Amino acid sequence: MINSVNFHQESLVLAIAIKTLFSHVFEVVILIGFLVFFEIPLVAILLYPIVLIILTIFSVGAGLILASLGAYFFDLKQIWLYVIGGLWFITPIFYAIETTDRIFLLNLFNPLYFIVTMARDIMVYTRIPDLYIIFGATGYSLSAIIIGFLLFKKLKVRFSELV
Amino acid sequence: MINIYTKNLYKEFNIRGKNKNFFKRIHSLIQKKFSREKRVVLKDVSINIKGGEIVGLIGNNGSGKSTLLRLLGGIHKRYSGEIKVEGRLTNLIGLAIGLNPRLTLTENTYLAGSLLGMSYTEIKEKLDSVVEFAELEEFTDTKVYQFSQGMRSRLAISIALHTNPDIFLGDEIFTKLDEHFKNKTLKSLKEISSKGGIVILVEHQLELLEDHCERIIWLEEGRIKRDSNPKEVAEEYQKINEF
Repeated sequence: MINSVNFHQESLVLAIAIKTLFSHVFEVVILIGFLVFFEIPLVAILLYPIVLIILTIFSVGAGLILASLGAYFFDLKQIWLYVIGGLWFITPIFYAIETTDRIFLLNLFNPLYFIVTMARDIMVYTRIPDLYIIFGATGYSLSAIIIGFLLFKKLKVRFSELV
Repeated sequence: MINIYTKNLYKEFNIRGKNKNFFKRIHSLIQKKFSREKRVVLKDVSINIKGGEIVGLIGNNGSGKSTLLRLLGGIHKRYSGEIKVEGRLTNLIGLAIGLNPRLTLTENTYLAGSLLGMSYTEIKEKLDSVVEFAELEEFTDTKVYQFSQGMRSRLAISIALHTNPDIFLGDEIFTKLDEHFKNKTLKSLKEISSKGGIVILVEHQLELLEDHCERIIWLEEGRIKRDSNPKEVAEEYQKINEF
């Protein structure tokens, strides 16, 4: 399609982000069920859209970066699977870390750490996240979207020749 | 004023050179000697097509016909020379307009229509007409993966024609069509040119171009070899390619 139709190619990345966001709505419904079951105050869910906006901005940015590079480096798709695997283990999703842990330093370079911790603080512990978590999540998301759009804009001139 | 103009158009592609193993590739990267070769696809292509013309584009495989259409359609963005395209353009290159096999005919019409620049309201208004033109009234809720190649082609052509283009670029669009739909499409293309629009058709069916074009451009190894009346060009092209 990219080498047959002249259209805004950014829309492909945005379409996937919106599609994933739509499926996420159903996951949120399940989450609300668990919050009710564990008697966690539901007021926290009102703050969840903030996390979701930050996560979406980051995802679109990361998607634009990967889509741009993926057109030039065909093997990136295979390599990325391993990176995702590594990120899954390093991100404190099913375990918690303290700022004194060695893995904490590593996680400072992991954007997902900030977003996951922010979501957990708000939803599970119903508390306002630490300032460095808020800044980290916002900073990484804004950086990702800015770099993503700039990179995509620069590299898209050759997409039709590469696919 | 509807017009297509190119001057000294030059296009080259980077293609991967000699196959090297991983270590040699890393070595080339360090030495900054990339294993890329340049392949010139179009050279000194200057054309001027005015509104009201149906133009055929012929040439052997790899002569640069599709690349020229992609450049005119704004798909390839890197080139040297000059391109000026004035008018609302729709291109149908290899009938690939983004049809999704897992979506129904109606859903695909919305998807492909929007990719070709139509608004939601415009598509909604024209949906019945698209289906009617494609003669697929019974299949509006059928998923496209169940369509034959011919049905897909009919749908793609119908959507593209409903964008009301001033300029229509078609690359081998008649390949999978039956005689009836081919004539129907040609009638619509003639309507575009009679309203002052431009139609450019890349085809290997010389008779079709001879019968319906005002002019044929023959590309050979990226250069224009002949640009003249259909009969003359088709005869010469046939003579050269005879065994």
